[in-house]
Amino acid sequence: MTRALVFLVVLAIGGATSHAQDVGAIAPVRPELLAVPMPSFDELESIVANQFREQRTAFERVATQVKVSDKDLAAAYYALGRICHAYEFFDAAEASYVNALRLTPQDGAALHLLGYLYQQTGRYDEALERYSAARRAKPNDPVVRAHLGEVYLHVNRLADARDIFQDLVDVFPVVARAGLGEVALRNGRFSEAVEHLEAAVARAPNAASVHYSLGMAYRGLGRLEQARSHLAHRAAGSYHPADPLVDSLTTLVRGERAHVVLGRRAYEAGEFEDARAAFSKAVEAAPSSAEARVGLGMALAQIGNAAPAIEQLQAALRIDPDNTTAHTTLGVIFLRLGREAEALEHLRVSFRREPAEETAGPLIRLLLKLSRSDEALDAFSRARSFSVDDEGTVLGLSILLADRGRFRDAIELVDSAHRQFPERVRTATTLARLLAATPDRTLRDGQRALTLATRVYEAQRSPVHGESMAIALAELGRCQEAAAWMQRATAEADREGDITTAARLRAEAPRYAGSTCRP
Amino acid sequence: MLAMCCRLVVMQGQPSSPFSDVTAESGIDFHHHNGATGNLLLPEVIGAGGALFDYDNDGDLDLFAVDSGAIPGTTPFVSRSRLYRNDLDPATRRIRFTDVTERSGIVTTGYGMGAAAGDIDNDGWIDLYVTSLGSNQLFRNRGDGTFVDMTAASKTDDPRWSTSATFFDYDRDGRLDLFVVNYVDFAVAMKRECFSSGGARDYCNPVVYTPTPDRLFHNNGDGTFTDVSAKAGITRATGRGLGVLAADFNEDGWTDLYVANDGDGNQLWINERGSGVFRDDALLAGVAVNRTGQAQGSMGIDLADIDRDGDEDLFVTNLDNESNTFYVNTGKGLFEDRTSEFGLFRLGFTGFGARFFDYDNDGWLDLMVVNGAVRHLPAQVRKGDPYPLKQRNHVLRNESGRRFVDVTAAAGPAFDRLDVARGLSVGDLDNDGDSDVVIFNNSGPARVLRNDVGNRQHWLGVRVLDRGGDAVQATVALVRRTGVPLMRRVQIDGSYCAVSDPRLLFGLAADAATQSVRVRWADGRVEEFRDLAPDRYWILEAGKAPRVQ
Repeated sequence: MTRALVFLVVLAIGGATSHAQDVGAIAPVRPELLAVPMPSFDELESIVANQFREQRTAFERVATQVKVSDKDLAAAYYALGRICHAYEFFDAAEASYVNALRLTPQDGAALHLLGYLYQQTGRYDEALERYSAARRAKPNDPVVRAHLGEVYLHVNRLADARDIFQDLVDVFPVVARAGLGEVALRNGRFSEAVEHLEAAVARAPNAASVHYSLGMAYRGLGRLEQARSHLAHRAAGSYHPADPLVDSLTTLVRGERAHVVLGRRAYEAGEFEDARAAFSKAVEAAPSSAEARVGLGMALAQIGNAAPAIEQLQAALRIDPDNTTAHTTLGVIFLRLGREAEALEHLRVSFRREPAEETAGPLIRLLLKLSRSDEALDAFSRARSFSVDDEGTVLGLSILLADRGRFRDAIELVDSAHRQFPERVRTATTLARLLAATPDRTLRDGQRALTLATRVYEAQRSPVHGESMAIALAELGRCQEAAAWMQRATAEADREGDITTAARLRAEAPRYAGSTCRP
Repeated sequence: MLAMCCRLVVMQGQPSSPFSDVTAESGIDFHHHNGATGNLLLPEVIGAGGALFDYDNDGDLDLFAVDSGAIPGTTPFVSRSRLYRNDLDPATRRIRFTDVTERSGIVTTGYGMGAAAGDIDNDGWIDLYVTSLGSNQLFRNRGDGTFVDMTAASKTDDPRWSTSATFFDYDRDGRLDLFVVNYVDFAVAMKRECFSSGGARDYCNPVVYTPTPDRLFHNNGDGTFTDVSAKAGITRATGRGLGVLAADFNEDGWTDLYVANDGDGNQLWINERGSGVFRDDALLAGVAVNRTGQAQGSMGIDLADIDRDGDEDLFVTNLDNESNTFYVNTGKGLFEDRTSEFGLFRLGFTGFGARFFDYDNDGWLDLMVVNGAVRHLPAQVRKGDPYPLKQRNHVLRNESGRRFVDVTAAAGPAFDRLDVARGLSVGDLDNDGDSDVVIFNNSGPARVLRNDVGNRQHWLGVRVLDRGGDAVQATVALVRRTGVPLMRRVQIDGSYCAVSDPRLLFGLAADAATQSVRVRWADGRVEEFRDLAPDRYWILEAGKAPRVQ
């Protein structure tokens, strides 16, 4: 688990809390020290509560010694601060670190972590103060300098940030180049920004934030295609410097729930390996947690480990037989593996429990594949919302809807899919034909059908697309042109040696010959 | 020295802070119910907002407050959204509201979220749309003090979980169309349980629910609307939507839409010149995510020309661990995140409603942001607060368009209070020439804050009408003898789940001279109105001489 993940914890739980009543702070051991507002243990997960109890006991063992040295007391406060920091009890962590520093003002580690805490919580002036002190205490530590650069960027001290990042080019090339690029971008020096940011992206191709800055730099240069491409880059990945001190906080985290929080956030960010690691720890901490096992199963499925994923999801269902996510994920995995009967069983359960888009899509796809038309249509009708991202499913459904006279539903479904994926030829063709020839004439739109058919034909000349032109023209009453297109399509089919299509087109051709060719 | 002496004398005779809480004396006794059952269900922390609009056309702003009630699938409880009539005494300017809900015929039936107001039938009476978790409702204003629920007849219902909505005319046919923002697919039966890192139960991050598409309804002009969402391309992308604002972002004369999404990239639906098609161009415009490329948990929105460069800048409220975001308009529909540069980067507060307005009438648009957490706050948990989401609201003063300075501490005792604020509506409730404020709190009272300082300076108020109704999206430029004109836009949306005063207020500072304004109407025509005396409201209508309200 990396430092990036620690930061994700911050994002995930910002304002993490305990529900319990305040059990009181740890009173200051000496007059010049601060009280530490500890969280109550009552409603913390038991393993976490025990961890806090042990840490508090350890602290009190040191603090109550008659002649405790400053150094030992500072170390006890520092240890207390780290555990509070790991669980995001920021006020307690801050008081602990401050106390440690009042006892040993040059403690580089405490300065570093307190600076980081202030950076996390947006108190940048205080972060600068602590990082600057940490830099004096640890002048050769590049990590502190990198953090200083980040904070300078935050407070828009661009010249200071540039100085720091220039110094770090050899040590943390991605951090430094990204920082220099950002400074140049904010100063409106777009070419220079592109140069630095391209160098950073070359070393960290998945760092989404660098792509974003690069996109903005290209936008500044008026190179909009490159701008769009980088701005849309949503891959997960960070470019922060490895920070052993901050990373060590993660190792303190215990308990199922904390790891579930971490796992969910990593999963949402697309960092499936980190999600797997977090959910594994959650399962380790609480083998009877369905939530942890579902998370682990989902993460395993994402990284292609189907067998262990199925194992985890089935274990989850033994604990919680109604878990919709487990049913859906299992259904999708079985569907991919071609184990259709098992997929159907799970997808039916999940859809019955939650008739939403995520459960409807895979179920309908499978039902169409199994030719269970009525059940597919029933699921489509009952879904609270329905995704149109699978072309085969959409077109299959539209045919079923049209077969049952639900022409408006069919057109709306295909139209929606076409607007989402305008480049899909089969979808555009189907829509053109529905608009031109649907039996319910009130739903027809010949002009739009012709526009669509023309676009399709220009993109992909074929006898069938030529026929679409004819159908659209016929709806507009342009019978001569329609007949000409039918001849052309037939000739093309002949040329291609497609005997079946040619024969079908010849059989259809007389419909277009007269002056009332409208289908 | 003399100036300082006189200023002190003035200060002694007047209130020392800009805003006074006049909720009780104004007659507003509204309390929002979130239907909390102890199960920490997401809807509990999302509502609600309300509207300031002049439903009875008597020249003062009335108040509609949205209640939530019981979450569908939990204990039955009737929500009590309320309509209050403003019985302002023009002589004393004392704000006095009367609850007229029963008489009005407005009966809300859903788990209420927000409101939109607009004259959908151009009859000169403002109609009302109420969003809910479940069915929404459209109430037509009959013009006799009563409303009729025309949801079914108008075909404007949306059974999803709707939050904000706005009326705007996307095809410039002279009729207000309707855009409804939807959040997530939620049902109590879904049983999502979420925890803090220490393992305590807490409200869920919405990412555990599926986002749902927004809806665009075209006004057919016969009392009915057609759902054109798919045709318009709106359903092409989904997001967990919470806020919406309509405006011409790329300055091509056609009104676009900006949607604030919770955890997903925000959307800028560019209106393809009235063709009925919209395309999301938020990324290239620079307003989808923050400057680090991260999508944020966005809620409220406002858009205004805060640096007086003639184009409008964008402010979006976000979660406490993200900071709100301020995007400066660099022209041609492109924006840059300059939150830090303008002094607006701040962690620790979850912003919902937000509004730019010139509270001190110095000519620069200031900013108010109302806050309330969505996850438990440790310090309040330790104190045993049963609803530990309370935060302070903020007032930020615009320092000549260069940066904002937090002046909350001096804004009045009302800003010492901790609430769970959601909606924020701004309007001149007492018609005295400065903007007052209504804050809609979750599981708490609606609060009315009277502005006591703005009208110490000179001002000019305008109500811009077109076809009898407010000329939504018309822009008004106050022509100045020196410097660039002050630009304002007729706006009834933005903030969060709320409706604000459609009238425009220009702060004139010490300038007591008559003024001229140029109105750019929705169809692009420009018309100048001259010799407008300050310190009063004027009604401006196309082709007609201005008249005093």
